[in-house]
Amino acid sequence: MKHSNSPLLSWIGRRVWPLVALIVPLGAIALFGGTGSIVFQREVTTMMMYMVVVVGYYIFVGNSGVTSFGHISFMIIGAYTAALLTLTVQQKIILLPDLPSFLADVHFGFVGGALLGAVVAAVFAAVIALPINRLTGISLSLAMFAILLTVNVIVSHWTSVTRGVTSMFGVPQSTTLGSAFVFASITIVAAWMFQWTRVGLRMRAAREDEPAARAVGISIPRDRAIAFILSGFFVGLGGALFAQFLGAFNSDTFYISTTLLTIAMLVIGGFKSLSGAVVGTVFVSALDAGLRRMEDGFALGPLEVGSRPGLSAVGLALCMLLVLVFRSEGLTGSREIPSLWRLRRNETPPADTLPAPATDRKDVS
Amino acid sequence: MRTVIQSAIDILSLGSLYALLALGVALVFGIMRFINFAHGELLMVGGYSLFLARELPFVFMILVCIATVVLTALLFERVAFRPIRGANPATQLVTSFALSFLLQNLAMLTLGPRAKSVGLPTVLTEQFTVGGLRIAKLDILTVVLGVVLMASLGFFLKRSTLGVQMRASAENFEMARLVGVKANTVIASAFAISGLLAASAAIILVAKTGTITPGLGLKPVVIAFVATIMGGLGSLSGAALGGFVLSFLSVTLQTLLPLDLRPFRDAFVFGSVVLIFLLRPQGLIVVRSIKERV
Repeated sequence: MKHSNSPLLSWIGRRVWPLVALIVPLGAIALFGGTGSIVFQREVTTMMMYMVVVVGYYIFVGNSGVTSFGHISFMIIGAYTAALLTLTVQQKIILLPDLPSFLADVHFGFVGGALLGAVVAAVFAAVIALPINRLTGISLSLAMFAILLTVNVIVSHWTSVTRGVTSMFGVPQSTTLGSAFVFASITIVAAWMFQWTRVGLRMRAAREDEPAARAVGISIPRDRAIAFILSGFFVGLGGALFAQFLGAFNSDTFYISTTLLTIAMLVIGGFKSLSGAVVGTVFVSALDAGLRRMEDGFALGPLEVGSRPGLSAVGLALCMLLVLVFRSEGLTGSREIPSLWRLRRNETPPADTLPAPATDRKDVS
Repeated sequence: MRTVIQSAIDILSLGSLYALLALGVALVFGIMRFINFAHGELLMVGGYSLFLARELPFVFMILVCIATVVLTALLFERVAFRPIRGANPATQLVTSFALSFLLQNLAMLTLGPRAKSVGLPTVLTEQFTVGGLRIAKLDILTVVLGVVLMASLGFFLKRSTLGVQMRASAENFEMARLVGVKANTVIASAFAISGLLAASAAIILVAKTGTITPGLGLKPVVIAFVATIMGGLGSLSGAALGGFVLSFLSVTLQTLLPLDLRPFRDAFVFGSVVLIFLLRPQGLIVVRSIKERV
């Protein structure tokens, strides 16, 4: 490796290379997945859709440093919107006879359904962004959890539109491995670009030292609200893709266990870096898929292990606790993929390649 | 008039239960500065211990329940929360969430997802009528239990040495340690008391519904969170007040909402809480020691 002196090379090294280093391996996984069995293909597609959700979730959590326990509410909204828009008019007459006419008479394709699902989720995010972002820290995390419960109560009882706990079915299953990969890449690029914008940089400054950020005049609630809406858009997109992948789902499909799974992906990877979000999603998806296969029963040499429902959830939670207790900054240590070129001596390295600052403050809440 | 009094009784009884839940969460928060998601699983453990001890006389059932829950709370502290003491709040919150999910699924794995039922003495569920008002004995018991527990908690915190040490730690943990307060003792007692409160809440809950499921703790714990935040993080009286405000909202909406909107009651309750946050993001009672000093 030689020292680079050109600003262009240095820019590529810092801004473009980490992105390439994330998306190219992901593409390789997608290609590899395409050659496998149907089950394997579905597992890889699921991973790509979780990538959209988790990276979308990261846009808010990673930049603000505040965990939200209610982001799955955007996924729910994206999923139901996409389902209502992609079902054919005839299907809707049978499944949802009491649907308001502006929903009953429209029909969209795969991309239309996905994007409108994302937009509706973003609008919902915009509505709650102001009150929610006036809260800080733990209060925000838990208020979002209350939002998730509220959305769940609404979709489980608003049967004329959502069919509630009986499942919504017949949604065209048009999400493929390829399209899921394309959307995952778009989400990763968007998250990466956002974190280098003014708003993104200001948020990361406030994440590390809130009083100092306020002292230099950063309006934390406003910046967070912007990230919140963008995050709502992509999580909603993920939900819309899931709806068009599963074909059938009900009000409990995207709920507490999805919340845990996505938080696990982000935290196990390292929630303060995009690389953490991506690595965590790949790692936890693989773990989850493996545990699910074991859940159906397996043979270990002469030992027959019967089916054990709940095993994958227990394994996942245990794995997450172990990571939290022994490596609380996640697998990537919350760092981005380092630049390919070494930096010039007199150039200060960008903040993200520095080791994560020690969290010695105990009284911040 | 009769409906008003009837509602008042409901508000008091439900409010006492919510206050017990919120106090359990707020007590641990005061000292540890993190919200214990797994508090709901203490209720679940309490419920299952009642189920497993269902053959025993009622008094022993209660004792088994209290002992199991307190021990579980202490175990949580020792195994999961002690190693991450001092880590950032997000990590602690996620840890307790993972712990809660782990326990729910362990319960599902070992005891099955189907609801178990426990028949508590029917004395509890009996109702009597006074001047046209229907009053369940359980409601009276809940209010009495709530008042007694809250009063003794207040007395303990104000008068006993350990209580004073706990309040000092909640105010300024480092300073308290410097003047000789033992961190482990104080934190373990906070968890033990929170377990005691959870056990009482679990007994009331099971007496009310009669069924126990792995997801038993979910809704109560969310109510506890919302009450704690609404009351003002770090304030015990705030948490109790938050519990009563929530029960007021919930009972009033139940009576006032038109029939076809009633299933959405919880959505309205949480919606109005979001509005309260708009007006008072710090909660109803603001605690100064919570804010970071620079």
